[in-house]
Formats: sequence, structure tokens, C-alpha cells
Amino acid sequence: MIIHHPLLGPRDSAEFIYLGDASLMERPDPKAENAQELFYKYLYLRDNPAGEHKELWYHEQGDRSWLILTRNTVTHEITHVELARRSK
Amino acid sequence: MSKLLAQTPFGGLEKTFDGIKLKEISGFEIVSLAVAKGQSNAFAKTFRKQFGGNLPEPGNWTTTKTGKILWTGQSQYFLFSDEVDERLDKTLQAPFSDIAYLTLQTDGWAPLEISGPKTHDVLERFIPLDLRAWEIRQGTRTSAHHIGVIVIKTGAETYQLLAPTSSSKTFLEALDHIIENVLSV
Amino acid sequence: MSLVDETQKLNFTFDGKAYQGHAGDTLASALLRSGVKLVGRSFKYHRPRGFLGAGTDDPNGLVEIHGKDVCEPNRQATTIKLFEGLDAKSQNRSPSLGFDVLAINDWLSPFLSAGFYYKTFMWPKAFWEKVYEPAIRRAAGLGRLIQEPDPDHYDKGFLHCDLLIIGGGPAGLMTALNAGRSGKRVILANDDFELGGRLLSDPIEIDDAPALDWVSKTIVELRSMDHVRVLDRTSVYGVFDHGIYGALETKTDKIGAPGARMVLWKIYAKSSVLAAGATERPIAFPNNDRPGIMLASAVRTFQNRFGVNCGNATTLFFNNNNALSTISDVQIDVRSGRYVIDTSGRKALNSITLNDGTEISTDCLAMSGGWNPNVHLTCHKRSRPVWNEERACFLPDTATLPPEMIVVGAANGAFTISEVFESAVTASIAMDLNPGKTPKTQGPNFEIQPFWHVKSKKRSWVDFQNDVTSKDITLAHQEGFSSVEHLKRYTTLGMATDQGRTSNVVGLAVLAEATGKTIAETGTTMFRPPYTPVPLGAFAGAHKGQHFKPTRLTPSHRYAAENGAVFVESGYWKRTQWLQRPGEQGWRDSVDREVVTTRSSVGICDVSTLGKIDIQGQDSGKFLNKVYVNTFSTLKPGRCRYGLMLREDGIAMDDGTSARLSDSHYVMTTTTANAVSVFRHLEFARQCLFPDMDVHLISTTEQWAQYSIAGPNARRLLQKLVDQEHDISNEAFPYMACANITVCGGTRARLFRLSFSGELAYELAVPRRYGDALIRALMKEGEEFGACLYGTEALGAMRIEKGHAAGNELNGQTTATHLGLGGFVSKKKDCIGKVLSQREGLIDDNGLRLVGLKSVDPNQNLTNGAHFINDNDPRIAEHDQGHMSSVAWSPELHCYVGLGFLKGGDKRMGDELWAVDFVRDHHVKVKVVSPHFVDPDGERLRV
Repeated sequence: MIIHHPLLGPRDSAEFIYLGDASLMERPDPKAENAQELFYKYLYLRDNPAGEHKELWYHEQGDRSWLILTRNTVTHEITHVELARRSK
Repeated sequence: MSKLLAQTPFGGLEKTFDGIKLKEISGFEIVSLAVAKGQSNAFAKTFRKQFGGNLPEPGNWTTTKTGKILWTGQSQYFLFSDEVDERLDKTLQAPFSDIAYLTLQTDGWAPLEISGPKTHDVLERFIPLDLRAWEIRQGTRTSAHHIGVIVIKTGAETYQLLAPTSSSKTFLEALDHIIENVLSV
Repeated sequence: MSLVDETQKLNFTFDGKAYQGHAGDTLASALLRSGVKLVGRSFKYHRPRGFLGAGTDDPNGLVEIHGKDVCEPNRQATTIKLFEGLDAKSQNRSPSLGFDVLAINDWLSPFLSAGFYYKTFMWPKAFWEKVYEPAIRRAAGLGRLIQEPDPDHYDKGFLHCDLLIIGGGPAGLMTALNAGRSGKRVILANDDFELGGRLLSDPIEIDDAPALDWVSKTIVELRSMDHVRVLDRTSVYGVFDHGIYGALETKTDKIGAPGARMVLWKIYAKSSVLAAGATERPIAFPNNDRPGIMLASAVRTFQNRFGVNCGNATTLFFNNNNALSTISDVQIDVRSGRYVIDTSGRKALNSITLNDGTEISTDCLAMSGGWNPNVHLTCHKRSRPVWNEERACFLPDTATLPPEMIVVGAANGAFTISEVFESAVTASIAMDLNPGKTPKTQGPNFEIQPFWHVKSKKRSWVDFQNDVTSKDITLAHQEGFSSVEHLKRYTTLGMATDQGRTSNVVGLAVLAEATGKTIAETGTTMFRPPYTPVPLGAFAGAHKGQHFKPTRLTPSHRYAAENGAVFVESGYWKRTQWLQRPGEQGWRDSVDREVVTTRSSVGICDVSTLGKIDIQGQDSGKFLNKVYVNTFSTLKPGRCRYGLMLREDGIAMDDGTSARLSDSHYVMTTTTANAVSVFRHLEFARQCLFPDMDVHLISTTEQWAQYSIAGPNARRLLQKLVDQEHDISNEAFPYMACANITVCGGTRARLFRLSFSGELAYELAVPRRYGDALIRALMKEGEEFGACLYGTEALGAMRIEKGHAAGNELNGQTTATHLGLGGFVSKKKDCIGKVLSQREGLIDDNGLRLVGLKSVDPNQNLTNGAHFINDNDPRIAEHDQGHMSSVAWSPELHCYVGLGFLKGGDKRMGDELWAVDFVRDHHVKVKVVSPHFVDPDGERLRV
């Protein structure tokens, strides 16, 4: 696949490592009453859609930036790429 | 106790083939500059004062008074300085204190210059990027044969390739092999 | 119009006999010209076969190309570019093509129909495994595999373009011309060694001149354009995501030639034009597979391109106008109601019989059942071709093509030269290219009357390569395998190396007739990459043998190699495992010596491979507090601290020491194996979880050569190298101190007082440029103390003696609690992994705990991986109490010492139980002890 890095332009996906669902960005509050349950959901429960999916990729063989991709898991079309850091 | 002698990763290598020249680049230091949070303007100003010129855009390098500077990541750069000084990160610290964090990187990179009319024929079997279309201001990090490599275009048919020092032997063997194949056609 | 150069003769051998051909020949054309008609034996029935096609469409003429000691099987003789010294052999026959013992299968054909191995060879039952299956397996297959290593080199490469044109026939050439003239970066990939496609073989006129003139002019112009790259003998085998294409370029068919034999290209194209042409269809009639029965286009190719006469009395059997330009003595047009119902001539055709009773003497039957556009590449991204009644063929479904692809020419159903040029013009306009002047052409329109097969009791071949007949197809339907997907798998139609190139459509037409459905309703199976076979060697490229993965060498590698080092692979690294001295026999001799020397005097170990991460920023301490279980913001500059890092699920991920060099500067160490993954984890934390912190990371693993110097004489040795102004006495530089210093008269260095061995120890780091010089200086100055270099085995033995956890213990299943480090986890702060590490299953009082083990009988050795069973319990899995994770021989204690995980182990000190190695059936009584075997109070660390 080709990932259009927001700063570097198109790069082969072989330069990247895939982590998983972008919901990993929203780390729960460890001080919450039901923290264990929140962390369990955060780490293990996934919708796993056949279709649009927001996911985290790491440009390990490039600029070491984390990116959030919106990618269709059926057609592999990537409709949006943004820097993970700026999205917060 | 005698002084320790420094060695370069390729031992001063220089090889000429038919249409390709490989040469180890020497006599320089690399310092990584990482901009402190909220200090981008101060950094740009200090940089211009120290080194002249503008900071490079992503995927590019620019010339400085003492060498060049390459964009390596968000708020991160590699400064190449044409003077050997294993303490360069300390030497440069003063003007950049509180503005940027400096780390010596020279010894981690084995540097080769490849040049000649067959350069692109060789590099297209090694580097996945569209080097033939590159301008002579582009430079970036990528993966070649599973090795993380920095590629910098410094001339129409001239590139600087930097591989991690520990992989220098593997890296050179891979290049030698490709050159042999390209030339035997 | 022949392209063969008769002045350049080439010598070759086929089945051991010498022949001559010319430059420009394929092996096939040279064989035919030499009168060799019999070139293969069919897969199942071992029937004599000749060439059916003249190019990539031929299913019959599969040969082996021989090199020294090796051969490449299943190569089409019709695509091998003849070279001097080619040594080729036929396949699938024994003892020879002329006399093949397994031809008996042809007479046994009633027992060998589709799916026969589900229906026959069933009794007696025992015979299947011992007799039938081995015999069938021996007989099966076409080519044979050689077990020798492939002597050839393969390269891989990357190409970029605006437009990739797949196919160098008239449609591809015209599009390339228009694109090149418009300034586009073009790659034209053509699988043949000549550009021109059908123009090389059909008597066509362009602009009132032979078509070859137009081809030559076009080639000259294309090759003169810098931004147009022509890839000859390059087959595009796959369409992947986002405009990525896979292509295989064959440089030479010769085995063992210098340079790369093939180059596998990954092509990044902004758009593509598929101009892959079309493949002619045979007609299925009884005994249609004899040598001399060929596709009409193949007869024209051999005649016109190669100057080879395929027969003295040629008959043409056809259902469409395109076949008419084939030179023939007799024409049998199905549209006139006549067709062939049988043929004779086992090793070479000699006559045919028609439905009206006529018998015709003929030695070459050219057949044409229509054309199949080569739509395969359009299907790689899930598009399904659609049936076109008028053209009697499948066409690409333009609505679902890969978004950046346009199909032109015969691949899109244009079957006359004027239609082809018209489609190229249309495509050029659609791509905003100047279409140029359309060349003048003439010829009859394309007309076709579908004619698929002749019903008969005799066998009519559909898939020539897998020996599938129309009888097999109707049988499959009778037995319930009526969908086109079942048909394929049950009969193996379309599953040979040609992937149904000439057989798929005829096959499903026969099926459609049997089921009473239309061809459109029957549909077709999907095509997947690779379109043409790709050798595994091409996918491997240069990554084989030593170069399967990169090798990383340590700064002391050269010195170690000079001094008897045995190396071990640790990921990409080559690390010194031990160093063998003269007189030493096995590894224990060396390793025990290294441990003894280190603990009694001083030993040096290269620890450069451990990950070193430079962490700088105002919030560095805060950041480390988030990733380590313990607190680092309170660490004073000039000190180091051991840290444990968890995954977010609470499992221990890595451990190491981090040193604080200044208020805003730390250096973290990781284990060698986790250097990359820890860095990735830290960057995730930095960018995604805590983006507001002022902290930067950079790897300095490669920047510093780092050596551990350990043993009672460590400080004395160091003092010989450390420059005078740096006080490294115990008072000035206590255990866990760190500092920037200089050595050997001003060389920059860093010193860390850390100990993995448990001895008085330091780690000395210099910029890697001094790494080789430093190890030599250390060993020279160390001679006074009998210093030795030690490797990973001694390193491991010593840490086990001390009870330090390492990779065996941080195995991805253990937590801080299991490791006995529960108290180490700060209660005052959050860190990654803290919340889930408290899940009840992970903090269970009776859970696994790290303990030390010793054998009760000191003469018995311990086995790593052994499982613990209580004394009176049956020794089965249900009573598993834990396992041994690390074992070493302790020279100091003269016995084996082990570390392991035992249920409730922290409360079972002194217990005796069994350590059972179930694999070797080795049972040892062990005692549970403290894991700190040597110097348990850690006195040596602080001297």
C-alpha cells in the first residue's frame, strides 16, 4: 500500500509498523472508579469493521512519526492521513 | 597510556567501477537537534544566527555555513558539520540551551558517496524512492534491504548514503552485489 | 517478414541431440524448423504432444533448461529465447519422448477420469497408503524439482512512472508513443523479447506498408525518449493496492550466467494501461490434441515471424474472420455447417475426419475457436469480467476496474487492427494525451459464430496441460459439481501452470451447455496473482544465505574474531558467545574459565548491543515516571537506577538501567532484543499518550561502543585508562554512579557503575569510532591482571548466579509480582500497565513466583524448561507447579543453579520437589532456595 505521509508525501507501507485501532490514543483515566474495566475495554474490545477503520501506523523506517489513517479494510482505500500528535 | 585512534566504518574506502564511484565520506560530525516545546521560533532564529540559511522542509536538506542540515522528523534535524569534533554536541550547547536538545550521532552512521552515470541504475535496485525525479535538495530516511538508510541527493548523479555503522559490512556487500549485477549486463 | 537472422547460427541440444537454430528463434521455432514435432507427453495420459501455441499460450511444450548440476523445470519452449549452448530436455516421460512407459495410462483412461482418486484405488484399504498413493504421487506432476541450490542471482528493484503500459503490441505501442510525446514518464513492459505483439505474426499493412515498418519506426522513437523506459521480456504478474504493480524481468534464460538472471520490479504507477492482448481459443473435438494440431495464430507466428513451415498440407478449422489470413490448403468454416469429428496420427497428425464423412490428409490443422481477451490483471482487485455475446468472449468490467487502469486493444475486445488503433486513440484522449494521427489500416470486420465442442463418445481435450476433457466436465456436472468453482477444483481444469489460458472459457461453455445455463449465468473463476509463474528465487532477490537478513557487528568484533570468538546470532547482531583458547575442548572449558577469571580478577564484555535511548527535555523525568513502574524524576544527576517497564496489560516488557546525566538528560538502556520495540513504545507514549510533555528521544545504540569491566580488579584496570582528573574511587564514584569523563589522554567517554555480574563493575562507553582501539587498550592494560574478554554465555551464567531476571524470565507472560518485584512498583503514581497489572488473576497469592533451584543431589544436573511437580503428585500436566526458566553451571559453587517460576514460590523456601523434563524423561529432585546464589548480600558491588 502507499501511505501519503502528511509531511513527507507518498511512502510505501513497508516503511511503517501497524499498531491497531486509533482508539488506543484515548488512554482511560487510571484514577477512575472503574479503571480496570475501562482499561480492559480500551485494550481488548474492538469493533473490527469491514469498511472504514481509523488506525495507528508508525513510520519506523522514516521520520518515526505516529500517523492516524482512515482506511477501508475491504478496499484498502486510504481516505485520510493525519499526524497522531497534532490531533490531540 | 597512548591516545586512542579513531577508525571509520569503511576504512577510507574508495572504489571505481565502470560508471560508478563509491567513496567513504569523512571529516564531518552529525549532531541531532530536537526543538524544545514551544521554542520553534527561538530555534529558527538561533539556527540562522549560528549557521546561516533556512531550516529545511520535511524531506529536504539545506546548506549551512559549516555543512548542511537535514530534516529528520517533527522538530528534529540532523546537523552535518564539516569539522571533526567528537564533542560537537557540547560545543554547540550554549547558544541552544533551553531551545534545543543536542545528541551526537556521527558514530552511528556509516557514510558513502555514490556518483557516476550509472548511479540511478544501481540505486533503483536498492532504494524504493523515486530518486530519478528527486531535486538536489531532497534527503530522507528509508529502508533498503531491511537496513534503515538515510539518502541525500547532493548532485544530479551523486548521493550520500548513510547506513547504521553496525550494518556497514552488510550494506557494502549488498551494494557491491548490485553494482556487479548492473554492470554485467 | 521473418525476424530470424539466418546468418547468426546458434547451437543447442534437445534430449541429448544436437541441433541448430538462429538468432531471433525461440527454442520452439528452432525445434520445428529442425523437424521436431513431438515435444512433450501430457500430464495424466502421457499422450504425445506438439506445440499448440507459439508464445505464452502454449500448454504442451514444457521443457527443462539445464545448467551445471541443476535444471529449471516447466519452461515453455515457445518463450525461451534461443541462446548458444542451450541444453534442454523434455519432461514427464520415461524413458523417452518417443517411447513413454506411462502411455499405458491413455488406455486406462476410463479409470482415470476426473476425481478418480476419490472413486478408484480404494480396495484393499491398506493398499492406499502403501501402494496406490506412493505410485500416484510418483507419476503425478509435470516438472521435477532439483534439490540443489539455485546458482543464479536475482535482484529486486523499484520503478516509478506516470503511466505503466502493460503489453507491447500495437495498442501498447501507440499509447506509449502518445504518452511519451506528451512528456509523461512511461514504462512499457512487454513480456516478449521483441516489441510488436500480433504485428510480428499477422500479414497486416499500416499506412500502406508492412506493419513491421510502423513497429520499427515506433520503437526507434520510443527508445530515443529519456522519459520512456522499455522493459523487454518483462511480465507484469500482479496488480496490487494504490497503483503498485509487480513485474518480472527475465535477463537471460541461461543458468549460471553472470549478473542477475531475473529482476523482480515493484512498479509505482500513477495510472496504467492494460494492453495485454488476447489469447486464441482452441475448439474441443475428438483427438484434438495430436502433434500438428495448433492454434491458427500459432501457425501464422511460426510461418511469418520465424519462417517455419508447420506442415506441407495445412487445414484451417475456424469459426471467425481473424483466422482467414492463415495460409492453408483446405478451409473448414463452421459457419458453413462443417466441422472436424476425429483425427488420426499418434505421434504426428496425418488425417482428419469431418462430420460429412470427408477424410482429409493433412499434417497441420490450424484451429481457431475465437479470442479471449487477457483480462487477468483486471481481476486482481476483485473486478469480475462480463460476457459479451457479440464477441463471444469475456470483457473487462469497466465499472469495477482498478481505479487507475484503462484497458485497450484486444484485451478490451478489439480484434482487428483498426479497432485496436481506435481503442488506443480513445484511451489517449481519455488520459488527456495528444492522440496523434491514426494510422491507416484495412481488413475485414470481426465476425464470429460460437462453436465450443463436438459431442462424441471419444475424448475431446479442453485443458491440454492438466489433461481435462469435455467428458470430465459433463461427468463433474453429473456428479453434482455444477458451479464453475467446483468444476475447477473437481476436474483441475485451469489449475496447471498455464492457469487455464486456453481452456477456461471452452470449459465453462461446455459446462453451461450441460447445465442449460448461459455462459453469462455460469460466470468464471477469479484470477489471482501471479499471472505468469514467478520463481521463488525472484521473490527472495538478494536475501538468501548470509544476506537473508542484515548482519550487525559489534565494535569489538574484529578483535574477538582474532582471539578465538565463537559468535551467536542475536536478532541481526552477531555477538561473542565465548572465546576459545588453545587447548580448550568444549564450550564449558571456555565459559567456566571466563566466569572464574571475571569473578577472581577482571573480565570485559561488549555490551554495545544493548539499546541506548537518549532522552532529553524538561519533562524527561516525568516521562520516565509514566513508562517505568518506579520513580525516575527523583533520580539525582550523576546516578543510575534499575527500571522495570510494563506493557499496558500489566505484563513486564523490558528492564534496564537509566542514567541521569543532567537535569534534563537521561540515557535509558534496554535489552538487546527489545531495543527497537521499546523505542517504538516510547515514541507511542510520547506522541500519542503524553503529547504535551517536553521530551525528545533518539537512539544512540550505534553511537557508543560500550564495554562492561567486571571483577575485583575492575577499578584497578580502569584507573590505568581513565584520565587522572576523574576520581573513580569508591567514595567519589559509588555503586550506581555515572559521569562524563575522558580516557587515554582526552578521549570523550561515559562511565556507569553498573553490575549485571554482581561483581565490582563498570560500563565504559566511548564514541564508536574508538571502539576497536579501546578494546585493544583494555586488553593490553588488562594483561597485568590476566584479564579476559567474555561472551554472552559467561554473561548469562553470572547473572543466573545472581538471580537477575532476563529474557527467559521476562517472557511475555510474567508480571512484576511474578518476578518478585511487586514492591518495586510505586504506589504513588500511575504508569503504563499499572491498572491492568492489578487484575486478580495476576496478583493471586498462589500465582507463580521467581525462585532459585538447586538439585538435592549435587551430582545431578538441572534442565531448563523442566516442570515442577510436588513430591507425592503424579507427574502429569494437571499437577504442574511451574517451570525452570534459566540454568547455569556455577564454577564458584561447583553445582548447577537454576531460576524458575513456582506457584506460591515465595512461601516455599526450603521445599523439595521434582523438576521433570518430560522430553528427555529426566527427573531431578530440587530444593527451592533464594535466587541469589553468589554473594547474596551484594557486598562485592559496593567495594
